[in-house]
Amino acid sequence: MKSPLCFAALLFSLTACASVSKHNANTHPTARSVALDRKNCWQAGKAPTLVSVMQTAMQTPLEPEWVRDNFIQTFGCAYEEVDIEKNAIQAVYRAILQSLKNRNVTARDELLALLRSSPPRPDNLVRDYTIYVNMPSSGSNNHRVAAYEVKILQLEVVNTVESPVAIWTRVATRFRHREDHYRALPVRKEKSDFVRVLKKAQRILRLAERGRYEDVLQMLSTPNARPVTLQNGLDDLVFGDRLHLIDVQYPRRYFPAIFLGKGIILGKNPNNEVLIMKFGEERLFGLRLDFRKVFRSDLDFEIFGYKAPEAILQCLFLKAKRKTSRRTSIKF
Amino acid sequence: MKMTAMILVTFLWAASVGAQNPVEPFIQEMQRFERNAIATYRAYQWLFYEEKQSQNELLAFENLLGVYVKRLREAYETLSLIGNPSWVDRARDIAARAYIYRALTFLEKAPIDIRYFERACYDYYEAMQLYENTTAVPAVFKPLPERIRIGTDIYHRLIDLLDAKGRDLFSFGQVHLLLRNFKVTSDFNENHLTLTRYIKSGVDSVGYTYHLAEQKIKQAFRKAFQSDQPVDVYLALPAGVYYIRSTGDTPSEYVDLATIYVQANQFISYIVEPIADWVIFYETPEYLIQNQLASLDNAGTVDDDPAAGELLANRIAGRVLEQQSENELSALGETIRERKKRIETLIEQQLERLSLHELEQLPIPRTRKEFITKVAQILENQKMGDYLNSWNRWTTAWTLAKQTTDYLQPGGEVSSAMVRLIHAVLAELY
Repeated sequence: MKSPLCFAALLFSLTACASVSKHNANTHPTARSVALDRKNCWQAGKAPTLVSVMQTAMQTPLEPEWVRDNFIQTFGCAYEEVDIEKNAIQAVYRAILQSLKNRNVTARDELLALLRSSPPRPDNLVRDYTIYVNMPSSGSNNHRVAAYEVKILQLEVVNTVESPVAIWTRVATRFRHREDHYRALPVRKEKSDFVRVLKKAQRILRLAERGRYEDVLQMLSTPNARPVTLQNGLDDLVFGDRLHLIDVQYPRRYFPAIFLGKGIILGKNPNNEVLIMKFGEERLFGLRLDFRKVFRSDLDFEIFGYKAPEAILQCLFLKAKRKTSRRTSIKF
Repeated sequence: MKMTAMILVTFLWAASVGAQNPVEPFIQEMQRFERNAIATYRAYQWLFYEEKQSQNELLAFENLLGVYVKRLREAYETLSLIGNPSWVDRARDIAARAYIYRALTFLEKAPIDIRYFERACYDYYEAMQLYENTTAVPAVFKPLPERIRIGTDIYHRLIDLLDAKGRDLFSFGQVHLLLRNFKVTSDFNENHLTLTRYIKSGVDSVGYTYHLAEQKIKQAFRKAFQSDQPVDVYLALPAGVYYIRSTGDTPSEYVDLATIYVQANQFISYIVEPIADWVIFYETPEYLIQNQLASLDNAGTVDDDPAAGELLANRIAGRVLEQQSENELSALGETIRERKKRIETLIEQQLERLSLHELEQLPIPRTRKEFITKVAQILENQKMGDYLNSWNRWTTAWTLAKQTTDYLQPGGEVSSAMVRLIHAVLAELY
């Protein structure tokens, strides 16, 4: 087993060389990576985080006339895409979804299709919609249909740490017919569950940045972790999924790893060092990824279609690469 | 009643004959093209060693062979749309052999023009890739329709010919890149991409080129930016470490986008995606899933219970890694022994399935037990990584069969039965 280790050492030192040359050549347009210059991945000039933007935005009270007309207010946001329109659609979708959740009803229409159907410029999203929802009727299993009004009150683009085209939105919703309103179940007051998901993800990513592997594992470990089968390959992986890194030399040993997104994982090597690496790099440490054992402990990331912000992932990865290079340059 | 049955039988016979007829001439035409391709390959050889040959004449023969290869490939693709497995198998074998003939032709010229090694390699990979996602035995391992005489030797399988003349092909590795989700907003220019090999001492002494790979990468990026669809590109690269770079105005200004590690005769697959204003290349494990599942099953390593897994992982990952108990290590030793035993059982099972004729082809020294032990030992001694990254299980089976034959029957021919036996064991194992 000596030769693979030597090979790993060689590859490692070569990776180090590669990273060094990267920092020497920042003149080319491709090299102007914002993430490269960040010492703290969550600081990019004076840009706020989306969570802090949302926390401020969610203080906005619903206008009295809408309150009087039985509207409720929910919020949504998105930063995953580089495309502003797609982020806008996703943010509105999340806000409407929250409203439906608060009312304990489900949409009869394909919401995303509806939002995409009109020319999807952000401005065009700011209009009134009527959708149809299933209302649980008491006493029997039959669902009743109700018309549901959606008003998009605000749709803002903000430059955040995560993305220059992050979007947040404020929507007001109600049952179109008064009788449905009185017949409905009591309404929840939650403004945005997604912001809670965002906060959790942000905490995980911050802990990952500081190399607090055990804390991340603890945050994501629940007794009800659900095994996941990757029927569509890597596309089925969701932020926070737990994978296993198997020690090739001693297959009985394995180390849990956390999937962060874009092929990047947080894991540990047999020398007990915390690593942020991309798929394939585990081989440098004599490890293998086991895609049979994928567990999902937090379903919220899946339900809301959460993806870690690319700028943060890029920063985490490049920072970790620099650390590894330094370590290896001392070691070899 | 009898009359009806007779009519039905006659109808079925007529239908089957009728169904075969339109394709049979097509196959015959393919066979004719194949014979022409062999003749061209032999004529090329003759011309190549002729003193009065010129480069233009050689090029004419190469182009002619290219026409046959193209026509045969098209014919195979047409037949594969029709979907009758027996026709498709025959057509695939013919097309694959044509690729190999052209690869062999290029290999003749390669010593004087090393760019031809790379070209030959692409043809070799193309031939093997026709068998991807099929259970069919690749044509290179099957007997040839007609024996080929090259110099003083007569070959009845292409793999023997490749083994004699095409060993350089095994110095290359195949790299698959899947470019997806490209909506890069920064000013990424694919024409600035370069593929550079890591050279240790300042001089590249490998003796193979990789010019075609760079062109293919550029084309793939261009296509990815033009369409929303994922783009696949297959590269043949000599073993080594490569950097995909984005260069600036001068060659000294560059950014490394990815480092690719290529091992000889291996396959590696990467997904390429944009990440913020960067590009990330990460290895796709999808091709390895099946292999890993089986090998892990065999090792019996991982507990199904996530909570127990967590406990074990914490115990291992955390504080007590170095203090792994003697008992655990001895248990691990037991696993290796069990594994060897399992390989022996698999070989025994496969031997039971072989015909008497096939058994005679195996290099069994004195006793069957001795043979099984040796094959199991060779399989066990192989590095796990070699199997997992092997771009084709048949080539791995060939290498191991050759190793076994060389040990048990030095100088003996590697029999097809031996290759099939190892392939079957590998398929069960990984």
